[in-house]
Amino acid sequence: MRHKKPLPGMLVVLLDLLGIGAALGIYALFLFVIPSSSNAPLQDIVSFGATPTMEVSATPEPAAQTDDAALATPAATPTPSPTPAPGDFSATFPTGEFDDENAIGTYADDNLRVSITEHELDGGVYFVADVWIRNIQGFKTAFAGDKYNSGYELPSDTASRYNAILALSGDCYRARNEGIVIRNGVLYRDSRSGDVCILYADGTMESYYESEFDIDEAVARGAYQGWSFGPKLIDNGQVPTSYNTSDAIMAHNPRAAIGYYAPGHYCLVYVDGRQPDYSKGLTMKELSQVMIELGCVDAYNLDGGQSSMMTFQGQVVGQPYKGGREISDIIYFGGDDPKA
Amino acid sequence: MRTFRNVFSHLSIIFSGLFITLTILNQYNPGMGFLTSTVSMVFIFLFCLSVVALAVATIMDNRKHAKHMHHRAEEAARWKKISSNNQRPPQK
Repeated sequence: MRHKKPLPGMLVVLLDLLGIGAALGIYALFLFVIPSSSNAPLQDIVSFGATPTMEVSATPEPAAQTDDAALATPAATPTPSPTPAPGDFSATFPTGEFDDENAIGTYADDNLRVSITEHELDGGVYFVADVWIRNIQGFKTAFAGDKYNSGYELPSDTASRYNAILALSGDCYRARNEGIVIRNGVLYRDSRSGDVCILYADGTMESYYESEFDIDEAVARGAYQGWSFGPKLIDNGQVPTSYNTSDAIMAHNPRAAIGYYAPGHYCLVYVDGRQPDYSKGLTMKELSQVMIELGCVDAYNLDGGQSSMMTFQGQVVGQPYKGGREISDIIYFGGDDPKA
Repeated sequence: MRTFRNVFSHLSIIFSGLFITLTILNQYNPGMGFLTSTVSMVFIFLFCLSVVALAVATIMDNRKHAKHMHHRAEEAARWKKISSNNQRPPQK
């Protein structure tokens, strides 16, 4: 029987290393390039008619009068106060001039008001976009490629395609196979993974610890947008004592976060980082402190690091680390309506 | 069988290298789900299959080798007995 001469040892090691590289390439191909087969939405949660309707409360009956003088001059009928439809924030939508002289950018129209300010905390530069919307449909999200699970692109490209006035990188849902995905009233994925943030159709926003979240309850309540990255940034008005995330993510990093004040009033926070000569970023605790000091009732961390990016009227805000990264979704205000 | 063992040995090394890399990446960014994605589950399954195949091949090879050595030991013992009795070796 002929015995072949074995290959040199170093060549065998090299071939194994090449094999490992090929396996990593195949893994990345399936994870990031080839779209998943389950792209159909699971459920329509919230939908809006062509014209919003308003309910008017009944005129209250005048109280019984026993005083003769009162009988001579009947009390005027109070003007009925209209009850705004859920998701209509006209009653609280501000008008008039912006009162922040330090704003680096402002925008106002009948349905949207945005004011952006720049701040610095312990070597970390961050930007706060204060947002008022008149209607819940003004709080929009968009997918890269315009469809669920259809690809990745720079947040600035997605924002540009929708002519967004203000945009912020989302939770990059496509990088994981689990996590709640609710966009513009449609449920796409209902598996729970990490802390969750839900914007309801009535304008309220709540973030939940992973163990506390109930998707059925959120759907029944009218979840309009839902994100899964986290962690939750405010716990009963305080900085949380622990966070549902890794040590690497807790450290100084670029950040993207969303804050909630009241129905119709929100803020987007973008933090520049990993640039020692300019901005080292914020830790998660510092981000929580920022959101609390801004007066947010609730706040939630979105995908940070190189993924985070904010745009305002077509311009990139700040200096995203390495120019940003292609991601799968954005939050945006103004501009065109979402395609999906 | 030796070729079979060689192939699955190298496959096991490749899969191990893949998951060592993913484990390190997961430490830096667990949000990406490097170890929990469906693709990872498939690769873990294939890894397990290659390890099982390698183990079965190794066990079969070991048993074959053990049988062979046992047979040789029996032959050696028979020869020793024959030479001690000064008998001619039996015709096969």
